Amino acid sequence: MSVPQQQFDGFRLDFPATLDDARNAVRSVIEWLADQQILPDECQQWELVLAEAANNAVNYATPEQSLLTVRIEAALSTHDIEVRITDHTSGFDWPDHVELPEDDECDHGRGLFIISSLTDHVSYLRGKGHNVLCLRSQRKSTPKPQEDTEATLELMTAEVASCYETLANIFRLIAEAGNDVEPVALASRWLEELRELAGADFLVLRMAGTEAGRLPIVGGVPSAIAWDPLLEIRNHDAVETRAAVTRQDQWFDESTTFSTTDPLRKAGEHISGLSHPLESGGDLAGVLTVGVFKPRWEPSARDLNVVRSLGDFLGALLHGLHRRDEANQSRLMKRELQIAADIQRSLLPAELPQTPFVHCAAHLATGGEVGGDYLDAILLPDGSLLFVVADVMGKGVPAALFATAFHSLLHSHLDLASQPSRLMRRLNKAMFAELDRADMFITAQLVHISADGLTLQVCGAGHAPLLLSGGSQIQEVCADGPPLGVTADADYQDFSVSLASYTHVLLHTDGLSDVVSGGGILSRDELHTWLRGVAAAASDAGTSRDSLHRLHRSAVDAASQQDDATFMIITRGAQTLTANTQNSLSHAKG
Amino acid sequence: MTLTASAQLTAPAELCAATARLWRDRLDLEIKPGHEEVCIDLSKTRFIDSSGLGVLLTLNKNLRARGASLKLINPSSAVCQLIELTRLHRVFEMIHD
Repeated sequence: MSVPQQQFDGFRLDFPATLDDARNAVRSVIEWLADQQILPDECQQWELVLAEAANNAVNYATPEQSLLTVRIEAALSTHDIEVRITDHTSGFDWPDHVELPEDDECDHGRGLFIISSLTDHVSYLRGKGHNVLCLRSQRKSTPKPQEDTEATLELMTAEVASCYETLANIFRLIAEAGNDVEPVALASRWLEELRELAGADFLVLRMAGTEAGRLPIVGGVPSAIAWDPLLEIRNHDAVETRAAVTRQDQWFDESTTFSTTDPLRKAGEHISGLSHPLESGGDLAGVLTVGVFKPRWEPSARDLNVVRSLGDFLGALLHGLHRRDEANQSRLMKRELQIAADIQRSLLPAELPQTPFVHCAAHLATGGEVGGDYLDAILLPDGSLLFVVADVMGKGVPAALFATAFHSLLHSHLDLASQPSRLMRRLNKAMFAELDRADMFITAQLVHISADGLTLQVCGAGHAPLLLSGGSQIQEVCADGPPLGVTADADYQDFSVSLASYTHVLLHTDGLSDVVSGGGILSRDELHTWLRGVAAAASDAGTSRDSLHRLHRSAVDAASQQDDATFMIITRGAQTLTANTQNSLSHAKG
Repeated sequence: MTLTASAQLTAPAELCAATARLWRDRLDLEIKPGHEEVCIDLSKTRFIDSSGLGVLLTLNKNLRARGASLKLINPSSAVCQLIELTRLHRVFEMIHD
């Protein structure tokens, strides 16, 4: 038997003209048909038809003709199966009407009937030593569409190429991000690149995280479009917020109805595209919107791959950069606060001055941050003393800077110390412009005590009242001048008090007890009771300071608040300096 | 009770032009003149063509000529379809178990 030959678009086989070879040839054709997804029932019918046809080609051969081969060819079209059998016998006349034998019991004459019955079309071309039987039937099975291998290969190649392209771009992105580039500039440049790569007309990138509940824009191209800078996530009507909330891609096209508040309306009326949520570590990092100025956008798989992969990576990168900036900012802030705290600490006197007639002790607290509280005690050349307690509005670096300026000005005008109101006016004039520009103010209290400790002059600028006690009574000296920085030509008054009947004087900020507004941590009565107590007990300045600190501390703990009180105790008399008073200034962080 | 002399034979898987001669020889060998009935088991026959039918028709004619009968036992669906196509179901006695 010959080897099957398949040089044409079908099956072809030449076989010797014997019944065994004919049978094997038919089997080969049927196997080929089965391989071509022809149904088993069809194969079974064709097997019978071809067996009859091949047998005829063999049976009609003379011994000489049987030396020649018979050719069987099968071909498939979309709708038909066609088989040709070519033999080299003398052939026969194909009858006009093929019928069964009249005698049912006749043992031959049914082959042509079987062939005709089981095929749609039969033609027999009889030639001189060359006959062709052509058989054709409609296919009962619909052929499966043939895979376009070339197109598939092309698609796969494009996909692999796009993966490499995306990877290469990601590496470039990483390299650029490593150059400490500003995130917004990085985003803008890459949005332009992405627009080119994806064949899009416009892109908008919004990042979450910087403002809760909002999606501020990081970049948008083309820049000619006035993209909305901020999108509220609660605006559920917007395509971008739907992507953010559902964490799913949101497609839009000409059939999409954009709400009046949808920022994408800025891109035009006939737009289409995709809003793609960006995630980083399970958190929403932002939303990337890619679109075209056409009613429909049908991006290729490669374009989508580029948009999603690069978009996701860009989102994660920007999210990371934002967090890095936040961490840097936080470190910077801590460092600045540390510097401010150092400055503030440097303003404090190392030791408060003590004289034979006047002793003092003080406590400064900053509530855990760099505060605006300021205190000072200065022994003047004539032996008198100037005590200062001030509170710069606010906390942090700006408050510390104004405290520094206050300190410098104070020390450069000590010639006015015996007249606190003049000194206060001078301080107000010198600081008004800066305070006013910064929209800040300072409350302050200046207390001057004569060298013999018998006369006290006080001037207040919006500060808590000065408290005096001799053990049985309490004297409040209210300051009636405005805080520094409120009025350029503010007037201040001195209040003169004879200290003959007082032993203890208390200066404090409103963190201890806001006597004026009643909002402090210690009530006015509590403070009065305490002062009377220490005066009656003739407690020295250090002991009194510690006593008040304990009282305030317990009140602070009970109210779960921060210790942000600053106060100074001045005692008059001949008390012996205790170890506490020698350590006259305590400084505590809350 | 009368016992009928019967020959039981199993047809090959393919009963076609290529196997017809061998099959005919075997029938000649197996079937004796005393057999009043011949049963051919066609259950294993998956392919039969007009030559195979011709063998069965010849056998049937010969048996009937001497008063014996042929029974086709459990013909497969392929065999049945061809017998019906060629209307030989009017000729053959077919028995399905």
